[in-house]
Amino acid sequence: MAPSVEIRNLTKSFGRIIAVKDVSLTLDKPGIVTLLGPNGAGKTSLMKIVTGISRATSGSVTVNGLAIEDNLSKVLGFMGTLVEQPEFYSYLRGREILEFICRIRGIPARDSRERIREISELTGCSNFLERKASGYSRGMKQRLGLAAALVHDPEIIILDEPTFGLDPRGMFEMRNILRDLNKRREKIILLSTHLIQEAKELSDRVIIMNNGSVVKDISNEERNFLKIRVLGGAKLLKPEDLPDGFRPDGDYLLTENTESVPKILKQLIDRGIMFDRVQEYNDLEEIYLNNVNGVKQ
Amino acid sequence: MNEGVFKTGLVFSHYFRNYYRSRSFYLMLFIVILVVSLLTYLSFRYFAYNADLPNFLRTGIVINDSLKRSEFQYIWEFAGNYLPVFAGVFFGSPAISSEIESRTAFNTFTLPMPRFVLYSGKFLAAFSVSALIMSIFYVGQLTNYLLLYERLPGFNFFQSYVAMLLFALAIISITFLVSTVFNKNTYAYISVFILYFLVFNTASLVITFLYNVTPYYLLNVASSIDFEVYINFNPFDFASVPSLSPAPASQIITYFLVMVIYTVSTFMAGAFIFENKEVN
Repeated sequence: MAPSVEIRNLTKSFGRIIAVKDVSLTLDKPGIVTLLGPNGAGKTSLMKIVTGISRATSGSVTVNGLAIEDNLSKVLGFMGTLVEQPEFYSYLRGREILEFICRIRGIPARDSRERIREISELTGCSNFLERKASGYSRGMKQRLGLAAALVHDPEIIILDEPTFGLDPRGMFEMRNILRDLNKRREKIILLSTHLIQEAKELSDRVIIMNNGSVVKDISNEERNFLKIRVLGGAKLLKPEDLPDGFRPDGDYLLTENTESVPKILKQLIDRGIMFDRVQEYNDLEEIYLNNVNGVKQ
Repeated sequence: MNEGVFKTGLVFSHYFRNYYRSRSFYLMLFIVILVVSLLTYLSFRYFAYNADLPNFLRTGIVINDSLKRSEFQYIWEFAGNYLPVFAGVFFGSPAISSEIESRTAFNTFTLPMPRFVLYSGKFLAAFSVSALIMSIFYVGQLTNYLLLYERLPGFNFFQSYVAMLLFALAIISITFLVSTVFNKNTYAYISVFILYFLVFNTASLVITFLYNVTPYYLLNVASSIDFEVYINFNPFDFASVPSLSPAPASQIITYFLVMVIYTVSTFMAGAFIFENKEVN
């Protein structure tokens, strides 16, 4: 059965403050789904509810067909989570922490050693596993947190700002790990970020949140455009002269139909429309700014 | 093996390891060694030569060898009576609040196990490490006793040890309950100290003076059984007539039961609050 997360009319309030406002989402296709939004948008609150750390004021969350309120332990068995910046018991070693997680997650002792070796190589924490967590840097904790989230090979991975606090190299490596995880498109990876570039690079689907609500939910296909510069300006063209699926935008013609480029270009040539530049265009910044107006980041 | 029991065992061993490597453990160890050293000094300077009951215990009766040995054990237990309170504060007070304050909750609360399993495993770990500390104190007492009197102590030594463990269970259970209420360690520490040293002691004084009865149902009174098994006299109990005999079996059973009731009721209340605790 393919993994799925179903969020229905979820609201979380703290007194008068509403952190999450009537959010409904269905995650049923494997791939990276990113919650993008400014600080305080409700991304972390939403993730806390999905992972059972916090409870919804109203609404429901169903994971693989099971409601989390009634089946929390079972649901958490499907998930690997990294919510907020990870912290560990100071007096324990990284290996001991991962061994404990393996055993709690039902991985037999004989297999856990191999599994820890694999996952620590993938996440880059092999060289500090024997050290106590009290001496870990922010980046080390983040890597160990990711290893802890992935050690049981979960089908649903929930990562709250996984590159937060990492240096540029660490961010680059973390993104590569996420790309590797997403290669086979077998898992649902729900991550949150406030970095547009990160969302753009990694995501198959971006959900923009602001003030606790989902303001835009866009798939990769929807946000990738083909941008063609028309000589003389696209505005000179009459609407009836435009090929199907095109719209004018200043000097450019835009289309979402990026898969049939040769066909589109032939249409333009046949209609005598002259152009000098064809480029792919991802307008996530624009979509974001249009939907998150006036919010300081 | 039942999965819940298995996971409780895993949680226990994980946290026990974290506890015995912690600064709190070494601080408690230092306190116990200090108390044992001071009492050893007292034992060899006082009991080895001129053992005599102190003035406040003298009733004009003949002090035989048996009473001298009881006095020795009474003094040791009286001095060590607060050790479980400190162990409870060190190991129990931050048990849940530290998960929130130091943000380890985000890793532990998202593991696939019922909260009750986590709570129970952690409780057992805190109790075990406290019991280890208590046992060091008892080993110190036993060693001194063997050296001084060249014989094994009586059954009341065992009763006293059980009383101390029951007291540790009750006080750790209370500290766990307090810890589930707060999200900051400092509040949990202070609340336990205030609750035990101020509220219980004041309540016991008020009840004693107003009604002239011993409030056996208060934990601070019930916990005194660990030294009253030797000499049935609690200097803080103004309602009872002092006696140089050991506490009777009925009193021992009652006080043991009181501590068991505190343990069970506060444990269940704490587990219930923890089950519904959110990390926001």
